[in-house]
Amino acid sequence: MKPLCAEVYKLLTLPSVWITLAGTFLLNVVLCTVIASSALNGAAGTPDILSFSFASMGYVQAGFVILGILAVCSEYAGGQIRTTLIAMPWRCFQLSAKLLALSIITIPAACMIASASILCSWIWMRDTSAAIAISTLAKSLAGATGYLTFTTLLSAAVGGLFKRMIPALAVLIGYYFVVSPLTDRLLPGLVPFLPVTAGYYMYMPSSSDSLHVLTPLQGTGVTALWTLIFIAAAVVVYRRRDA
Amino acid sequence: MISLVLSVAAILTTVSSTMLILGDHSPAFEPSRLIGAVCYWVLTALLAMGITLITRSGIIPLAILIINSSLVSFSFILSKVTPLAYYLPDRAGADMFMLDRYSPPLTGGLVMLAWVVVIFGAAAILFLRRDIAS
Repeated sequence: MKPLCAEVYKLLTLPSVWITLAGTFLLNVVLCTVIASSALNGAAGTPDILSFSFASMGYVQAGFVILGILAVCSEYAGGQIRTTLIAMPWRCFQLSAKLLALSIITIPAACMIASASILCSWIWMRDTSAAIAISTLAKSLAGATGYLTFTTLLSAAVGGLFKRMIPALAVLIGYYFVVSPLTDRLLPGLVPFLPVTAGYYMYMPSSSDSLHVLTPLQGTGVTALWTLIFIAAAVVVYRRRDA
Repeated sequence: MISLVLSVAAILTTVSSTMLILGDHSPAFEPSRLIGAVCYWVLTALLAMGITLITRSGIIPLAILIINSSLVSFSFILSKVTPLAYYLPDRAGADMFMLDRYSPPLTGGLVMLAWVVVIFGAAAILFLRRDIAS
């Protein structure tokens, strides 16, 4: 219990965590407003509020990737990792406590940001679109929260593998924003197996006109599996390497 | 200088491989577009340096610039909302070498140069006045 409290306290008192979350929230609100207003000007028919509210998810996930990397790599930057490991030499336990603390902070934040995007889209589009069923809303919200949490944990694990912020960030942002959309278009057969593209199905509501390869549960499973693989790699490397 | 050399090498490689692969279908090679693309990359490198000096962290400019040049880009979305977004640095700079242009290539280059000058100016002032401690 004490290591978990210590890790939560460390994350809560790291200013960059708050700056990242606040920046992501503001970006989300701005982007949702922009997307919803441009959709109102352009589209015909009754737009589906949930599809538009998660259109900004592509950008919001960048904020959570940064959060994950900061949570782990900030300890290496100033040498704090040495103090941490002196206080707590059981490395596997310490890394697990850190990742659990990160999820404790990320889950409410992701829930708030996803709800804010749904609320923004609803405010803009409530006159022109159909009502949302509560069960669909709850499922999409849970899927979005889960996806953002998995994203954060995956980036924390990759940050632990690289130990330095800039390489980890370059690789992850490069994958999420360059490689992943390209594989989506060029190799559609791989879509169900890759973390980002499978995670997309966790929160997007199933619409009748799009071809849905995965159900939300399958998407959750694939994303969770990838996250676990990276966390396992990070734990193994953390135990063997010098801090 | 380094970015100039690297960008020339990268663009020449891309163009020659395109010509090899596409053969007769490849578009004609125009040196002016090569110069435009090289200028765009050099100015982007300078822009990144300026933003890094202002924010003093590597993360923010890296995240912003990679996301902006990816398939999901802020400037692209903003340009659908307001025509003013065409004067953002990456959209304006893209006029230097892309075929579907909003403004003539020289104007695009000057707009991007103006952005780089403004950001460098701000970076220089902050660099001189701020404490070294982060």
